Amino acid sequence: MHEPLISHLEEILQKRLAPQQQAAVDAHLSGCADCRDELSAMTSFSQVVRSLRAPAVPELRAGFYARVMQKVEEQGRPSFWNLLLDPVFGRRLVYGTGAMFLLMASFLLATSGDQPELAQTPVQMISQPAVTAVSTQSGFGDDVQRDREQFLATMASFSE
Amino acid sequence: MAFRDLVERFQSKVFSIIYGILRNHNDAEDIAQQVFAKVYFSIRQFDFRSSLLTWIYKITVNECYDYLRKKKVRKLVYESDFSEDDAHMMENSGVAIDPNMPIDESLAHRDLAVKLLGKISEEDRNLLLLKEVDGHSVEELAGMTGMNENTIKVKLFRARQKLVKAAQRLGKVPGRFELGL
Repeated sequence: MHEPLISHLEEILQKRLAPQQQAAVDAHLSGCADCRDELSAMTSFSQVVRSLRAPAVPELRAGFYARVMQKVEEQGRPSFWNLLLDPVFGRRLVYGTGAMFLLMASFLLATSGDQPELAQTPVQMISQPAVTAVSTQSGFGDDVQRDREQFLATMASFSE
Repeated sequence: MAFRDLVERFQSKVFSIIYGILRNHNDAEDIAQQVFAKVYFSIRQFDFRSSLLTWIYKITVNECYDYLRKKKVRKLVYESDFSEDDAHMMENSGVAIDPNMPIDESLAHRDLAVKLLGKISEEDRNLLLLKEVDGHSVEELAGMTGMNENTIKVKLFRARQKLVKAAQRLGKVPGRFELGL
């Protein structure tokens, strides 16, 4: 489309051109098929878009504002996921989880050292008699003879 | 301005824009509520570069297109939704549509308009709707958007060109018009 039409397009579409301008546009259109076609298309689609004008808009039902506020409340109510996205709550959650993790890790580290390593072989059992499985039995150490017999019985029944 | 004042001031306008596109009272009201809820939550993002109406208009049209996209509505008015009252109202309105135009044709035009406007940018779409549907003049649009009149004219011209090109791509020619494309 050429300049005389571009600058006056809105007036042309609304048919509000001054007579002099209209004459100039008509003169241009009579000699320019491209402008004629493009203007024809734009006029048509202008009317197509105007078809979206509501012919007679029905009234809104009473209480529209109340329904809007109800929707606002519904959408403003924090959900679980919204809470996670909330910066303050999210930061607290991260700090809390970190602190809990540190506590659990330190507890595990502190308690794992107290556990005696159980003897797996007779040699270990001899070298660590106090911490062998036998040591868990009640009365160990009270009677040396009985302990020796139990120990020998354990060794005799041991098989790899 | 209190939020209640804002709703009461713009509710008819918002509803008429949505109703013009969807032509369904219940859907239009649902979307109008959603528009104002959106306005409520994002009012701080309004930067005063354009008028409040332009900003709300933009939200409204976007909500309509989101709705159409979500529902995959291709036909604006289904036969089941199109009551005799609707037909009577449209025939007697004389505002938007040529009264001599058959109803089927006017429905086809609305369908085509929504499709074509969906193919161009948000800014172009809003500008064309404000101009053609709301009937604002170039001067009013300049005042509403904060741009000068020549810029508005150029933007409208380009938007119209894009609309024609979108129609060419779709291979759509409105029934009654000989477009000479």
